[in-house]
Amino acid sequence: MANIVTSFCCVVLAAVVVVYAQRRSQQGARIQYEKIGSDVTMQCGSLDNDASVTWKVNGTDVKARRREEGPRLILMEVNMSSNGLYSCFQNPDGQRRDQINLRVGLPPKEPQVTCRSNTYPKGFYCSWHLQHPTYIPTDFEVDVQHNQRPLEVTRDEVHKNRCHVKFPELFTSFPYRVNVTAVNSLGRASSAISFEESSIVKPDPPEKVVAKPVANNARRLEVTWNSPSTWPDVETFPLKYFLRYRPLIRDQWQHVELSDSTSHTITDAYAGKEYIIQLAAKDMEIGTWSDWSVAVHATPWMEEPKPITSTTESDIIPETTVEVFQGFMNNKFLFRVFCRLVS
Amino acid sequence: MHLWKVDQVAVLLLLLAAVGFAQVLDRTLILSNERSSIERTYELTKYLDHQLKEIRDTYLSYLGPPFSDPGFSPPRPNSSSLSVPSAATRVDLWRGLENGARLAQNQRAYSVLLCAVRELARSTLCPYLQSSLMHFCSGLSGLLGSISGLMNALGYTSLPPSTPAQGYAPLLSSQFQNSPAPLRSYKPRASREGTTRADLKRGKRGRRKEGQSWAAREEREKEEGMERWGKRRRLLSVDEEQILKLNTNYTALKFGKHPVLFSPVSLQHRRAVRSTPAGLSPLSLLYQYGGSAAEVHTLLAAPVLSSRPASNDFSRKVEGFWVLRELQSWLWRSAKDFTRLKKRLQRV
Repeated sequence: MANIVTSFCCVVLAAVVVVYAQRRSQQGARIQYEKIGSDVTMQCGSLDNDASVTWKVNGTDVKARRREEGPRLILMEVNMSSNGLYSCFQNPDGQRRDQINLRVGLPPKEPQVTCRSNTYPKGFYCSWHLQHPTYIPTDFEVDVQHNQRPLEVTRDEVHKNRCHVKFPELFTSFPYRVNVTAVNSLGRASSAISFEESSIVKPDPPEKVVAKPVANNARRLEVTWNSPSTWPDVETFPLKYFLRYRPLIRDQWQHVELSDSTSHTITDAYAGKEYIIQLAAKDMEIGTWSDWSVAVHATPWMEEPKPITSTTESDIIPETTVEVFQGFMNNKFLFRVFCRLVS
Repeated sequence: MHLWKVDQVAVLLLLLAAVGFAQVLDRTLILSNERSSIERTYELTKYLDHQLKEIRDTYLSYLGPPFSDPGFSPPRPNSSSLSVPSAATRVDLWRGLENGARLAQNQRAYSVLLCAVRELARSTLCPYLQSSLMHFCSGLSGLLGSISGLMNALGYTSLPPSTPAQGYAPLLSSQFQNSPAPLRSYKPRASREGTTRADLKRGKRGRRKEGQSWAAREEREKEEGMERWGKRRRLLSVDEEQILKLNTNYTALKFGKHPVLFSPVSLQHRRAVRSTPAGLSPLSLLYQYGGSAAEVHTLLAAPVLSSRPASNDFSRKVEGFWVLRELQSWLWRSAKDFTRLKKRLQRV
């Protein structure tokens, strides 16, 4: 027992020592951000110009194209492989004088910004991204203006590149203006978008889509769904829905538009075919349609196949069964027809 | 004797029950009437919204750059010069509006907007655009009428007819007894009965020409409406005399990105209305209707026109922009207003 405790303590102690040592070694290491393709000058502390130093990167010799001028190391046309922890040691005593963490990257280009309101009339959110990576830490500043007044912006806790804004008022005639600036050590770039309140309204897709066959009716499917849970007030701001369905074997969709109702019965389904059904939602008056919901599959009700008796077989005319065969490609039916033709 | 009294009581109770039931039925019937009125008014706002989108695009092209640039939004003139009420409102305030107040806000807004759009139409030089705007005004007038009718039917107080707020003053109708469509005359709604359904129908389809008897009333309402809108803020001032003298054909040179240019084919005697920095050639309003110049005179030289020199062209364009922009917001808002009204009445 004592042995286990002792060994555990030893392990913990060792870990602490390692971490401390690592931190100590990093202490004093400053980060230097430089642009890819440029020539980089690294200065070893505050040594005189005639000092002589030896440079190491990550503990090994510096192999890249370089020039050394006294306490300075000049790397030519750096690229991603130049990244590393550069240390300089004064000659001849070999004492380490400085440490520089070199990170190469790019200044940011204009970010792409989009805004959307899926919680109308509560508010909207804006998200942005950089089309080209910068490889170095980049921050974003967001400011939102409406009618020449700045609005309060809340950064999203989960998504780094998203912010939330509450609508200050509804039915406004003034556009909103969102300005996002990407900033890093190498530069900054901003882009702004302008939009009307009504144009960014796009609900989330409907939820809990359920499609069920209707008993004793081979051509019906009953579909029910819920309004998206993110839509705050479906009573006052009702949604209309778009239902599309098709049998799996077909490519063409059939569409139904429904107002303010969360159920629908398809009455023209092909008997026995498996269907794929999807829904989308939209505010009654403004904005755009949501994305399509998760697709659900359903097959209409089918009569139980009657058992085949040998006496009736001879009565069946092959031509009609072949016609039917062309019309229905149901596996069960195929099997039956095949059996009949064979026997 | 005793038995007979019981019978009497029973009959009385039955009668009372019947009366009560009838009243409830009546109320339900009234409400269902109102609900269908609301539904129709709702549909009308959507129809007008759709129409306005097209007209607005055309109008912005007519104004030319920068108004025709997508996403352009000039600063809104301050309230002293632009009396169009804003549709914008806080969410909580909007939700809490009582039915009567909700309808009243709509009524007030559309009465002002109607006058404003009429003014816009009046000062538009492009005949096609002018007739589109006039036609749109008829729809707007119908909307205003059905809102007023709804208020009456639900027992809310409409704005009194003397104030311009109810100014769904018919278009310059009586002057055009002989002129062809698209200008039509409308019978102003004086009755307070529940004629909403019929009125809505009329409002939607447009109405036939009415008699001269409304002329005086129209003139008065127009005047007041114009006062409210702001007599001074006209989009274009036109010299009345000029129009009288003009009796020529017109040719529209261009329509599209640039403002319409008119070039008189033959001109008797004229002065330029104004020379504008926008590069429009000396403008002269040239119309030839089947009627006489006097009719043209009354069309364009309604009481609102003054002989003041034309104010800043750009600021007038900005106002025109904002009138249509605010109208668009109001139509969106009204759709939501009527939806809310419908739901509230359903609960009653």
